[in-house]
Amino acid sequence: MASRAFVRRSIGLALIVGAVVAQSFAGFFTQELIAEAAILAIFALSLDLLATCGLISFGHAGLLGIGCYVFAGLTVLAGGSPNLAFPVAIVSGGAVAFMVGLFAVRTTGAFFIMVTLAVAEMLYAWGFRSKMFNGADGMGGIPRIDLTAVGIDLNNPGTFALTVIVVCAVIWLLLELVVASPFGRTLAAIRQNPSRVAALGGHVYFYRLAAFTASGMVAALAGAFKVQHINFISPDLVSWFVSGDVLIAVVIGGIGTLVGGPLGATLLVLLKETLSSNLGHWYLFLGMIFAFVALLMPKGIVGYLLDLNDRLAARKRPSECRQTERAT
Amino acid sequence: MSESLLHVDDLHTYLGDSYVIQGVSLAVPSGKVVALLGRNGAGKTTTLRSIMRMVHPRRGRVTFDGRDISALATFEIARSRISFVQETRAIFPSLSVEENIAVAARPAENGNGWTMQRIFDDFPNLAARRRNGGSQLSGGEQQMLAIARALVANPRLMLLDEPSEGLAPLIVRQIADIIGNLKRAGMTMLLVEQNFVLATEVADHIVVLGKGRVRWTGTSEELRKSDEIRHTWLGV
Repeated sequence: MASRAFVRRSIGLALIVGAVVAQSFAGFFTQELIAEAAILAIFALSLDLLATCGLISFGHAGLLGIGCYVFAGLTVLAGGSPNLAFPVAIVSGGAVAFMVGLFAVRTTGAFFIMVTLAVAEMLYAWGFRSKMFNGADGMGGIPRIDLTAVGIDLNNPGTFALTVIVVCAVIWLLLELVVASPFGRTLAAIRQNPSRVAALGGHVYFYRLAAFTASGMVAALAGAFKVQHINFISPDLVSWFVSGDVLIAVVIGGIGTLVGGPLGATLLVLLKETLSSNLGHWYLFLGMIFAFVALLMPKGIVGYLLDLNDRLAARKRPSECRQTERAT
Repeated sequence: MSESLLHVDDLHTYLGDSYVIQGVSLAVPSGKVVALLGRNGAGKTTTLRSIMRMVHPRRGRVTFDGRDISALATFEIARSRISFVQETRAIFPSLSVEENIAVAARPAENGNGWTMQRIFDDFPNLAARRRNGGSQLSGGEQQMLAIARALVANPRLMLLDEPSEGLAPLIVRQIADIIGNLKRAGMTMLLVEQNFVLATEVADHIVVLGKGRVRWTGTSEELRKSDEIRHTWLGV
């Protein structure tokens, strides 16, 4: 029977192939949706990386927002090249996450949720009043990365969507490697029982800080793509609704599975679109659907599939034993 | 006792409001096995957890190899090469056997210590299950994994908390053999044990705890002869 890693990776591969195929047949509107889903998928990956060591952030929009504001500030306000602003935005996300993490990762559980939420809301409050970024009204004219030198025109919506899909796939594969590495295994051990890891000589604080910093870089990368995608920045991108959306995506997809985040992000974007174009109080229906999924599959869709796979394997095992007995 | 590797000096620990360790002092000489005996609730596990600072003693000093470790964090104490085999066995259920060992691995300073390969050579049961999840192991296998994981950290001192607890007699025999072999190889150990036979067989020195205090110290031979101590403080 297939291993858990094989099941996870198959789902990821199916998502990537599905997105690429859908993108190549899609019209403008669907391409925009796919790009939106892929950006949310990257953001969800960053949150799930953090969840690997047992920390749930409810202020991840703050780190996304660092990517948004640094990219928009460097390009529109400072007139810098978007190609340079992009890596700077990513590094800034990591730097802010590191500084916030210095005190935030000393806490866990509900306290960590409150600390991250508070920091994100501080950024929101600043963005709301910022004259530089035109406050709550927001600021437009944000350029996209210029890759025409290598024949890629990101101003073409199809090309942009495809690029974000590819970046998302690369990040996912990188994080798969991280999670399978000794570092990632220690993060998983910390999620299961931090005091056991400490008793074995693991510096839990250092591991959590490293995970939070890496998560901040990925979140900021998603933010830099976000403002390029909508060519616009406003504090709404940093609001706790955004933190909530990404958390819902990860929980529905399956927390701690990596691929669950992108799956949940895809479903979230599709559902939002379908519901909001057909119904009035669509958030109500979205909430009902998610409550239903959470009741049926407490470990999320991918978590459910992994458990199903385990159960099928357990059912198959006794017959294998009989076969080996006959053979000997 | 200046050659002692571990010195615990006048340790006082509270768990919430209850005064669990009321001034425990003991020493573990280098290369020796000291067994900590006593009834349930005597404070044996809390003594070990206080040494590792997994609970914070109110008062008292712990020195390891001449260095005061009573203000260090748990992970720093572990890194100073004290391995703690916990009563719960503390296996990570969703990690494989191999990954459980890898989390604790810490190469020896002189280069020829315990490695993953040597563990699997010496513990064939674990080698056969190296890719299995920690939750799929039997109790005995989990205990072996816990000991193996303590060894790959290449400790200079091992704290073992009731390694025979809840295991079938045959498995207890295997665990006793493992501990005996480690002793012959010169490993220093502080062993908490309810199994009187196992403890007195392997230990050079016995410390009897009762209600948070040291009630008696001596050799295994002396304890076997002293009916009064055994009846009053051990109930055997």
